[in-house]
Amino acid sequence: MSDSISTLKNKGLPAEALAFIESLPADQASKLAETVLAALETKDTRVEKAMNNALNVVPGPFRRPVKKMLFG
Amino acid sequence: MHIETQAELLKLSRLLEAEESDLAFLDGQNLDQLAAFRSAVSGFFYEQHQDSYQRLAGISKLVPTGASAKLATTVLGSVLAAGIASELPAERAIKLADKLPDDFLAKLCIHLEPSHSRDLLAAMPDQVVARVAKTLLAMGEHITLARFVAVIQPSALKAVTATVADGEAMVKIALYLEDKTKLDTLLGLLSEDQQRATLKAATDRELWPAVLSLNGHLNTELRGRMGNLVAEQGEAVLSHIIEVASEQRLWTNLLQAVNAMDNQHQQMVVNLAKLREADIMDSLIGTVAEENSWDELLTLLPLLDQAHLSPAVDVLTERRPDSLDQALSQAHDSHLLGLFGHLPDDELPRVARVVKDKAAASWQAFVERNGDAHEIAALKAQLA
Repeated sequence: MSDSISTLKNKGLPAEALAFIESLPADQASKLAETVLAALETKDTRVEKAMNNALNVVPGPFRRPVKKMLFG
Repeated sequence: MHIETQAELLKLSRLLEAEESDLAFLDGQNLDQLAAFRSAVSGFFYEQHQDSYQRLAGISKLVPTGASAKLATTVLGSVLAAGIASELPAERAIKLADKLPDDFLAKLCIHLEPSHSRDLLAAMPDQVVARVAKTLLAMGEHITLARFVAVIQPSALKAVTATVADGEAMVKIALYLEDKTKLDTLLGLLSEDQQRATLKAATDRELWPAVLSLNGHLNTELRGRMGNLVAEQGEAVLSHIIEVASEQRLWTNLLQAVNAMDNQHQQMVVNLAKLREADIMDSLIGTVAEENSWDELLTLLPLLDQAHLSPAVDVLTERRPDSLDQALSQAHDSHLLGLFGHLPDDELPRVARVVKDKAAASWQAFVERNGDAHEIAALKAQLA
């Protein structure tokens, strides 16, 4: 199993999606898993950036409680 | 690449933010499995950030809708706003939608995750849906519109389709529909002018592969109506459609369309000069044999004039002699009787030869079931 497939498995990619990837020839499976992983990273970055942008517009005194609401 | 595979890979490439060409290696995979994979990955992506969406939705509920809308457009952006909207109660999301500019709302819709936004889209008032649909149409967002069609209220769908004059858009929306059983509803809402516009677009924009492929999903009544409109397109267009069916192996879809036409149109289509070409007829019968769509073909063969029947018999007896055995064992007897009854006397010897050499057992079984049928008397005599 390639690193990308293992990573996707650890991140909780549903079993049917994993099964589809693993049904492909090894080189194609790796390529597809890498593409899924790259897309996930892009989306992660986008969401994180937007969350930080949202936090930056909160007036100073409220920033700490809002940060807690947003990031736990 | 088959047109429906192209459509599926386009949807997947959008989800994965990749180039379509990067996923070309998936050509040949089962379409249903590809769609299920895409759906699972889409849900997975959403669930990775669902916690953030829920937290932001929680904050959004604390501020007035006007302020939320301002925050969405100036800070969050359409991607995050789509996630948040899916986590808001539908009533709140609808109020928010009313405060958002149409172009932002349209971009937000592009990023909605289908399985998590179904209820929200179904609850959207008709006028909001129609407004957003108009913007999406102007943006060429046919994939997003196709997702709308699947979940919006019938009244909203009617409002949306009434405004679509662009035939190319109609074909593409239909092609990208996830659930092709909705196709009947969608096409049924189109006026005859709109239906004609889709066929004109098919010719002008090289969309016949899509139209032929979609035809296979239509009910018989709509298939007949569309088929008759197709038949009125003239010989040049019809010959082009035959070439497309040949290149894309869409013969069964074309045969279904012709079978649903009225008799006069059937007669005209099956006797087009293009069908006399040996390679075209070979491709037709080859696809029919592959897809076991003999009944679709055999009902039409008795309509062929002698000049067209000969190339068909050439293929059945010379190029693909095994196919006659397959037809005899798989087609409906009444359709086979129609073919045998229509064979001119001078074609009987070569058909008899192939039956004897390649299909003796299936012919015997067929004769046992239909011994008294006058349609096969001459061939039986030839074989005696």
